Amino acid sequence: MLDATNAQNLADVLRDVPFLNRYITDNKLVGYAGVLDMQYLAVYKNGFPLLMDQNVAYDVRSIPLWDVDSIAIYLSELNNWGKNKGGVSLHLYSKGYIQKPSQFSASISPSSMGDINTYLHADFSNAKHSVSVGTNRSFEAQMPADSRYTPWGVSQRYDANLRYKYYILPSVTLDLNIDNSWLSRVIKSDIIPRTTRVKDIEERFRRHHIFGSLTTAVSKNHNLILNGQYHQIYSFQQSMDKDLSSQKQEFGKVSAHLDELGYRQGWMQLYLDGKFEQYGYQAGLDISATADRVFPTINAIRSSYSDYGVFGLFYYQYKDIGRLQAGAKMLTNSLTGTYFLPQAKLSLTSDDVIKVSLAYNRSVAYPSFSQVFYGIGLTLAEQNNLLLQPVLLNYVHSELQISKNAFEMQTGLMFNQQNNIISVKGNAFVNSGKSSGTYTYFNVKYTIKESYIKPCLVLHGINPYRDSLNRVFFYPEFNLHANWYWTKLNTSLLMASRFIGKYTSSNVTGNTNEILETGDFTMLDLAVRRSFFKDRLLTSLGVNNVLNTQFINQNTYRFVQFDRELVNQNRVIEERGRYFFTKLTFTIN
Amino acid sequence: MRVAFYILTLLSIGSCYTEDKILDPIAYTTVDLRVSNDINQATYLKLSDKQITNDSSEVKWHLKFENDKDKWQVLLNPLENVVIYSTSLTNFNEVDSNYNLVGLEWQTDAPNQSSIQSAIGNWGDFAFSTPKSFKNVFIVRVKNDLTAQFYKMQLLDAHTQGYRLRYSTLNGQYDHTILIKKDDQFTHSYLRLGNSPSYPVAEPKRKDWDVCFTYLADSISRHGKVPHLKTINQNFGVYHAIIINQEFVEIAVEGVADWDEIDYFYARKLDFMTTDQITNSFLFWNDKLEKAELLPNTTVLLRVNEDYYKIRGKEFFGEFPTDFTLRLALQKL
Repeated sequence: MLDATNAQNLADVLRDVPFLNRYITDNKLVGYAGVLDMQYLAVYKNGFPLLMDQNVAYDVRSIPLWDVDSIAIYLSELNNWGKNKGGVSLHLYSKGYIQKPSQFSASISPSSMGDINTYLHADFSNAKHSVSVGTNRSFEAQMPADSRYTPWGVSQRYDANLRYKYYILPSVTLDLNIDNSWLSRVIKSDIIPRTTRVKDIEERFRRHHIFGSLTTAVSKNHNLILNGQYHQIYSFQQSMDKDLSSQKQEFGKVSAHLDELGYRQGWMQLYLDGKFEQYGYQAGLDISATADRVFPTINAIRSSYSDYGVFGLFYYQYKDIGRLQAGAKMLTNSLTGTYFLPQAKLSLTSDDVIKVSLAYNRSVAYPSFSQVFYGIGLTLAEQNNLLLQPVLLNYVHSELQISKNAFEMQTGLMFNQQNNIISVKGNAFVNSGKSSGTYTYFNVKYTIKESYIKPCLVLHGINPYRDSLNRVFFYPEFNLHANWYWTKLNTSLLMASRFIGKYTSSNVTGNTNEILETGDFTMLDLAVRRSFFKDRLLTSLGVNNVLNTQFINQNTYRFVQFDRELVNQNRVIEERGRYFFTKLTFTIN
Repeated sequence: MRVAFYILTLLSIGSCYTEDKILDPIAYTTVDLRVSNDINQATYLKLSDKQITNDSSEVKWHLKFENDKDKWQVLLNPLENVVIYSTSLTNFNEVDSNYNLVGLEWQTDAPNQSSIQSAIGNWGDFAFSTPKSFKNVFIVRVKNDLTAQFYKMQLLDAHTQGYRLRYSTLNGQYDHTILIKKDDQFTHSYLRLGNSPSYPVAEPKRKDWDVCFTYLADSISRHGKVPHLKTINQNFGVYHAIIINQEFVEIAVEGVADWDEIDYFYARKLDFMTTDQITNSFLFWNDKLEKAELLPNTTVLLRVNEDYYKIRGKEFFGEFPTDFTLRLALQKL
């Protein structure tokens, strides 16, 4: 799928995978999965949370895909994290370590839009050590526009990633990942009328993510695992006043105080993993801390918090018929208190063909850091609230799976609910209201050798925040992914397409009861891929956004008794436009 | 492979940003502003679209009242020779046609360093959201062709809706208690005293003007030999002046840099001040030649929100100061 769509960062993934979508408005990304916004979607890389707590100013366009081998979407996934699990989890997996001494690869992917993505990658491996190191540059051209203003600005990202695995002893393994990204974006403005001057904005985002684990076998059936991660982000914006006649240029502020933001987060987890013939368990504890680097104290209050958690997860496998998983996490937050977060899943299987499962999960999503700590003196808008409670996320999910030979089918229903949603009352943030949603889906995969076709139909039901009339808005989503592999020519024809219906969400920025209605759209990506010289040269040629979908109408309505009144009309961007791309990847051993 | 490696390395560090096309500089535009002591007593200019609004209403105002929520100043029209005397009496009926007008010290408004000082002054206690009037009775002297007309006036009270005012002729022939509405859309509300009151609309809406070219009464000693229109007070004359819409506009006067040197980057480093008026910065009086001339190197810079403008006198023609037109160079920076 990634080859078909030329996806280069996590924002591109959101536009391509079932259940999720995103759009760009004023150069800001809005991601969602039905009623769930980005804060309630768990995102992991190699099993570690990629966006910790998700309550600081992340830019998902800074997360690269060039070193990602596969992407998976899970519904009702059970794990020990306990945060941001509204029901949909997105996993990114890096390429595995090579099974030979060394390998070098280089890739270039230009596009007719003006994009260019290049990376260099080196892998080394022996009996004790495995190393994977790479560097990447991605240049994403701006969206073509009639005026100088760029609603989708030009950006450039550099990445330097390292992965290292050390087999210290046959029973002790160290796994280390270091990801670094530097993203800069220029948002061009229109020429100020009756002048030769422009006021562009430059945004910079820096991200350093170190995570790893140390695994020790403590008995035949037990492993002791120490996980840790350190995440640091920094964002900065400045205005660039430029005279296009005299070529003078000066830099200035964009906002009064919040041009510079930075956070650091640390997390450590220790747990015992026991696996027996019919049952297994995980039990352990974790600790994490999040702190502001730019405003370490605000009004003599330290802008940081920490979490302490104790968790247990147990499973019992009854023959090949049933599997029960259950567990809970007791999570204590230094600001708001303790939360009991249970989770359970019961799966029943018949002859490995039919599988039925029922799952329940409860987790928390923290309010944004700025809502908790940034006073009106910083934001010049709303008053912070140190007593804001986390949003409580609950879901129930039932699923039927049928697998027979080349045929796989999943259908199910998930109901999710978000309580304690943060809104503005007066001019302060408070916990109030709830929203809920459903996913009813039907997913099929039919495989013939290396070819497959995967249609996926999802009907989203949304009961938006603050809708006192309890209305449910539905929108359909249809995805079709296909890969036709032509053995004789060693060539694949790839297709990724989707249709998303009119999407309704609540507008929580003001005190009035408003909803946003985002128009429907269709997206189609096609690509051909062929490898040469025993897979040492991999080539792709594709067309992204064949149907040239760009702008989507977005209307804001206010509820008036049983009717609605149009308040605002806007256009958001789904994609920059149609373009061709090629990708060449060379690999030598 | 090595070649591919070099190509990729080159592409990795190479830039793909597109440079902007260099634009030709934009020439300044000119605006002609005509003011006279008779027909066109004020000319309003909106900088963003060069919109000019003349106060050419036939009914000339005598008093103007501030409309801002927390402002309560009452000002006089010097071109109509409006002057005032505060009697210190609070009984309206005590001031009548027997009141001795001989030798009274008539007061007129006059600017100081930062604002226009009202001759009426603080007519009440403004510490309240609805000012408490001291109820002083004022005698208002206005020009009436060749003769003068006298009125007695008492500001009764004021609130967010407007000013309540009583006025009558000294003999009590016409006695009116009226409400001057505070209209949010305008900076001032206007009143012309007479047998029956009239309320001319003498200025555009507050968002439709930035600067106003008009006349203000001022101390003669401040202006030297600059010609002026006479007032009844021998120490004060009426001079050409510029009123600033200080709700939106800040101002800086630059006397050093050349016109071409002043661009956006230069302007935003200057200190801008908030004031409601400046004396004419475009003309000076040449004592030897006894005529008004353009100031050669003075540029007035105006900041409207985040926009900057520069203006400078280019030409002037007509009869200074009674009826003349000033041609200004205007450029947005």
